[in-house]
Amino acid sequence: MSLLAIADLSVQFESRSGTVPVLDHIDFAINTGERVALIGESGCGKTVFGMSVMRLLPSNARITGSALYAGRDILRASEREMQQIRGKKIAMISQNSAFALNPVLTVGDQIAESLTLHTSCRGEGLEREVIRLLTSLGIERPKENMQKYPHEFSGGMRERILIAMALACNPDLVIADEPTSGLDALVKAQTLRLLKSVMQDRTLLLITHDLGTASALASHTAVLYAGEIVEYGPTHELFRHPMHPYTQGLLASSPSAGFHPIPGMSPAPGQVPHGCRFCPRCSSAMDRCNSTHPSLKKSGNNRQVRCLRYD
Amino acid sequence: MIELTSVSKYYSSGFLCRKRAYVVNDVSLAIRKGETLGLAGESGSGKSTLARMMIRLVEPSAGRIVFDGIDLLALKKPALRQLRPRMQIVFQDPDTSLDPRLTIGASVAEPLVVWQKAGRHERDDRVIELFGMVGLQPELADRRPFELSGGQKQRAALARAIALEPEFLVLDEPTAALDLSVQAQILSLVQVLQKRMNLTLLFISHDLQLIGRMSDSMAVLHEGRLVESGKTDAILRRPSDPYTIRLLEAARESEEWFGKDK
Amino acid sequence: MTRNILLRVSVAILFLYFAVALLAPFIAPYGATAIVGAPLQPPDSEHLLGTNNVGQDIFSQLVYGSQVTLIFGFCSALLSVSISTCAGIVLGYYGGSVDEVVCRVLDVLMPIPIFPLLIVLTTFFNPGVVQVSIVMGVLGSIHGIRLIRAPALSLAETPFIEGAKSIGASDLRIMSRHILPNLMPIVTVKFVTASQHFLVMGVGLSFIGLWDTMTVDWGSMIQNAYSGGALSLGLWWWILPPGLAVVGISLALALAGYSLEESFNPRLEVNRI
Repeated sequence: MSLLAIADLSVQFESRSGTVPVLDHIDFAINTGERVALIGESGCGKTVFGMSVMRLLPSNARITGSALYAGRDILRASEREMQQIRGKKIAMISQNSAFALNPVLTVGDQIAESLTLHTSCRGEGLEREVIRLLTSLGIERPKENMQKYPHEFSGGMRERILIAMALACNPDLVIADEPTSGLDALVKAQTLRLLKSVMQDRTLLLITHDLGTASALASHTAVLYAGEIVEYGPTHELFRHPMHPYTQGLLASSPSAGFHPIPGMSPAPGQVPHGCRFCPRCSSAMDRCNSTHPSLKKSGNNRQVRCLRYD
Repeated sequence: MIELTSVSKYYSSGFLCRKRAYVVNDVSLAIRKGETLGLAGESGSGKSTLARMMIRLVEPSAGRIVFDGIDLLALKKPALRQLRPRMQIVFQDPDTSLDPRLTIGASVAEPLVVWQKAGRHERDDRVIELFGMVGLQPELADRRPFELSGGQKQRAALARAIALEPEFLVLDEPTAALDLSVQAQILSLVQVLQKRMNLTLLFISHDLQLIGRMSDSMAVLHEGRLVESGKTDAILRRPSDPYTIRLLEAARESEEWFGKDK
Repeated sequence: MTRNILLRVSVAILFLYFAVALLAPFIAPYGATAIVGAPLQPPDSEHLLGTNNVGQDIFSQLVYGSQVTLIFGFCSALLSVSISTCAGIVLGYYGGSVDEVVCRVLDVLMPIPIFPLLIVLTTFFNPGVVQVSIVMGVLGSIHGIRLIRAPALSLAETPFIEGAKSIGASDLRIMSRHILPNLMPIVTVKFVTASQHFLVMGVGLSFIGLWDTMTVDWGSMIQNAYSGGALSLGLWWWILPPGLAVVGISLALALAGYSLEESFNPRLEVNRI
């Protein structure tokens, strides 16, 4: 049973110069206990995907399709219903930046905020809960540390606090958008280890451009290119035997794999080729790739790929 | 080509300026002609400040820098200006490394205008040639930075940096803000240009894998101090400093996914 | 969109004012100081806005008066914005101890209110319009220097300025070609708001008779009407036209400043995906 089943999700942005499609017919499901990574490069629509699930898109966005969460379509839920879902059922670990935490509130207050909104925890019970969360994330002397302000913590500690905030109400689904970007190597490794342990028996939607983060955390990976999912499968298999030429190119361009760049650049939203969207950059393109738009097809055991070569 | 001896940068504070906050502390290193030195370190390690001091965009507080036999710090302003074309820099953030008000064609032509290289028409030809060298379509010359992708902006910044045919080029995390596939494009471009123009490079990065790919020798900076330096291969194979070892372990950890089964 | 319309409307109004000031000799039917009819005539076909207590044509005075008022406002603003832009860029770009000293001095000067100071100065020196305009421009730039210096300082530290330094561009070139163009939005807005400020202040100074009372401008027209008892006698055509003229241009400048500021706001510009 899927926890979140997204069917035919398309997102367009209306701007002065017309409508710009950003996501096209995304079909995607996360089962309880799965940790799915959505990887892609800037402009591919991955952040928009996360925001559509949280219903946090700006007002000029047009969403079509459906996103069934526990049998309910959250794309059609009222704002009031969404407020009940956000933070309590689906929570987000924001990107660790200077703006992720409110500088004038103590971290204890910030973690407690979601608990006061969604649970009946108050007073001492609330404090106990915050302390329990901080302890579970390996923060020492929680009682003392919860009185501190964000600027008193290091980057790694702030990351723990952001995770604690997301986990406060024990959500069914956690969305993490670029949880490791901008972190130094040491802090990043530490954060990955921590996320790995706390996400062990949770459901995670990880949005990232970093292949290392995806492989460390995700059980399944979906590769997004120019607003479409081009490949999906168990992370381990997908990284070891990438099927789609884009995935292959992405892996080959990483420094430890030989640094072979993909020629050209990703098409801008609204300017995608008619046939296969990767065709102009693909080294193994065939004639019909130019004209035929491939669909996402099953290929072997729980793998899906959008490429005419596998038809 | 360039040699640093006990270079430091500190900011003074406190009573009679007796407290000193060191950004870079007593760093000595040398880069041979045509070689690439990789400078590794985390944010706040002082690596950007060190790089800017090497081409004297930031004044060192102490030490000695010799560039091709010339004592860089002894130079007066006009003499330093004459030396500028020989050393160039590409910055980390593609969004701020080009003047937002100028077209990228004008930005790339700027060094040629400043040094009055060639007439107007020859200059335009040269700009197109430079665009070709960094893999930018000439039509983009009339665009402004905000109309371009990060990768295109870094290519333009690179074109500007090589316009005066420098000998020494500083690359301050030039791909930190770019996607993986774009990073590979830019860095292989850098390698091609290095061969073609016989460039001496200072390559700064927090990513040891990149340093391993790009450099002949490397140096590791930690809290302003040089903790390790030597041949890249040797250091990556057998690091001696505990900090380097930790960095390397962290890098290996995120490399696991390749399933290379080493 | 509405912002754009506001800007267009205000620019159109300003254009109208300028046209009147420039073409005054062709528009005004009589001279500004010529006595051309019976005193205190209400508006009719001969005197569009009637006459004042000595029989001067109010419409002609209004048209000629626009010259002094506008020139005073815009020239003071131009002077003050030029000073603050140059000084602000130089201080911000070079920084260092000179910058620190100048900033402390500015801090001391800043709280001095310009208007009372001008009153004091004019009572002692009895200057003409030009001198007052210069003094006002200089004093008014104090605040502007701080305003321009701050963004110039942060620009001076951006990589593209460092890049310009690294190719060996001279300081003058960096300041004029790279820093100034990037500050133009702020400078333009500052100029428009300063024009409004100085124009109204000029009318005020003229109203209390701080410069040569022989010049005809809107301030002195209001002053004449006021002291001539236009209010108590209900002679609306005498006092209302110059008053409304001031309100009109001040409003147009305020709107222009407001809409320019909005359209230059980078946060609104970045609204792209």
